[in-house]
Amino acid sequence: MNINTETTPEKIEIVEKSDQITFDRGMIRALMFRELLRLRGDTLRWIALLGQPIIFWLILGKVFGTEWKVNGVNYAQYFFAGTLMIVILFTSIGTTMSLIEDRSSGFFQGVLIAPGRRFSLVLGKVFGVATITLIQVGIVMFLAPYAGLSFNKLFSPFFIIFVVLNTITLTSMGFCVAWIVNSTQGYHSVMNVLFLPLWALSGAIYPLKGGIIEAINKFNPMYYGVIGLRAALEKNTPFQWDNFLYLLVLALLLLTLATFLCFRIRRTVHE
Amino acid sequence: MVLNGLNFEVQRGEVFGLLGPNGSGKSTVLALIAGLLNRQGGTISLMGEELPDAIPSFRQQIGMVFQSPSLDLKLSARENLSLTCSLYGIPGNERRERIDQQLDFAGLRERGKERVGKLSGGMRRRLEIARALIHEPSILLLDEPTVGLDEASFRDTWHRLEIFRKSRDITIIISTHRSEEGERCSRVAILDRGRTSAVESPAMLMKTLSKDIIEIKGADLQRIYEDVVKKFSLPATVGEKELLIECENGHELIPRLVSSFSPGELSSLNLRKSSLSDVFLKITGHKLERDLIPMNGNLQ
Repeated sequence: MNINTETTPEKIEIVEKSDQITFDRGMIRALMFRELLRLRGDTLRWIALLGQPIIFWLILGKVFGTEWKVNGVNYAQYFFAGTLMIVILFTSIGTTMSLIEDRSSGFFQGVLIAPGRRFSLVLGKVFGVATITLIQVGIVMFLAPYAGLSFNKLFSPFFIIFVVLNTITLTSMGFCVAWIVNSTQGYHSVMNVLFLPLWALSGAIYPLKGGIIEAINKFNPMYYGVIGLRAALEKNTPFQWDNFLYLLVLALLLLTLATFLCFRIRRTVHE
Repeated sequence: MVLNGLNFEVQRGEVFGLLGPNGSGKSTVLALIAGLLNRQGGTISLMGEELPDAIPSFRQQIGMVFQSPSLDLKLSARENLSLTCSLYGIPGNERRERIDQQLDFAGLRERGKERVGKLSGGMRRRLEIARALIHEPSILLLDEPTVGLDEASFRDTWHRLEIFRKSRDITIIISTHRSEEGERCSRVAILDRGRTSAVESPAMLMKTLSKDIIEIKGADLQRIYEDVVKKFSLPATVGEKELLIECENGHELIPRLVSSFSPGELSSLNLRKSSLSDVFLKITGHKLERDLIPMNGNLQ
């Protein structure tokens, strides 16, 4: 195979490193804003994303909450961190599911042809989801006073850090699954057999103990995420550095895996 | 082996066509030029300098329109173009002007705020091209840009492309299986099963054929073929459903042809001008419209 093209000589210069950073930044910004633009005006998505966790919290938290105490707090308060975790989970997996549509509809081809590097594609998607998650978490936080928690925790740096770390881990997980499965039916199946059980085991609903559960939770990002959110929200739950570091490492590992998978889109053609 | 024996040069400012049926490797060639696929061998060079495999920055000089739609149907035309501006690092103060320019090019200035999903197929295609041009690339790659468009949209798209090419000195490489699209190119590479069978201007390729083509249908095509060759000494090809005869003055030949066969032997007879499809058939031995077995190297 031999293909020659002739164009202006100055055009073949490799762009400066600073230009490459401009392209990477542009790709991150484009994909991030795309998520926000798509969400705007999508009423059904808002209802689905916010309605389910709020209903969960109202039924489980408020019904059992007044009588039942877990770890020294009433259940409504205990379950609040779990509710936030499922908001983050639904937002992350709901948004990464659009990857399947993007790949089949060809939108991603238009992104891959752009000069930004592949890691920018993953970061753009993750930052977009993180922004949406923060907005949704902010809305759910209006319920915090009803659970005996302060709305102002929304502005605490620890709280924001844990929301963002949880978003990165779950979005990266969703990204990997969407990339591998590449069908919405398959993605829903993985969500039902992997994501939701991991959420249930994480201590979001009740502090579960036992050999197998504890072994699974060692690799369960949502376990560390729920502990982190609980520490950021509740006065009597102490902040644990080792928990934060585990979550950070998991977030970075999953982000790297998502980027690696994204690079694999470049298939090899035999000449 | 997908691409083998593929060799062609594209001159600056020309419209270069890759003509071949579906599955002949056209999209793969464009994806390789764009750096979307890895090469296992061979070279792609620009101004005599070999391009390393897929430099992200080289893609800045390339605009590409894909065969499958790559617009976000949930966003407006203006939003789609604005996202593309971000992808190519176009500064904020230039964006509005460039978006307006491209909406004018696509004839969608008035409908810029409408969701792309509400636009017609032809409008979306023009918007796809506008999107590929917004960063002012020096090379535009078009992968079957007019597939699925009606005749009016086809002509309109080409009219706009021609105007743009003349004003910007852009090089266009287009893949197509439509002979009327190939005829609009400055030069065409005939692509057959991953190799170039000929690279020439459409006019030169057409010179290898006579002016007219007579299509004959009948019960026994092989017998008709033998009779035509024997009685008229004309070049003829037996296809799946018809016999094709090349000739200079078809209207004069038709009465002689009809009278040389018994009634009922010929079921239909059609006279038309020869096209690049006929050139393709003559060079490769198979029809341009026929789908070949799909090749490896898809992006998805």
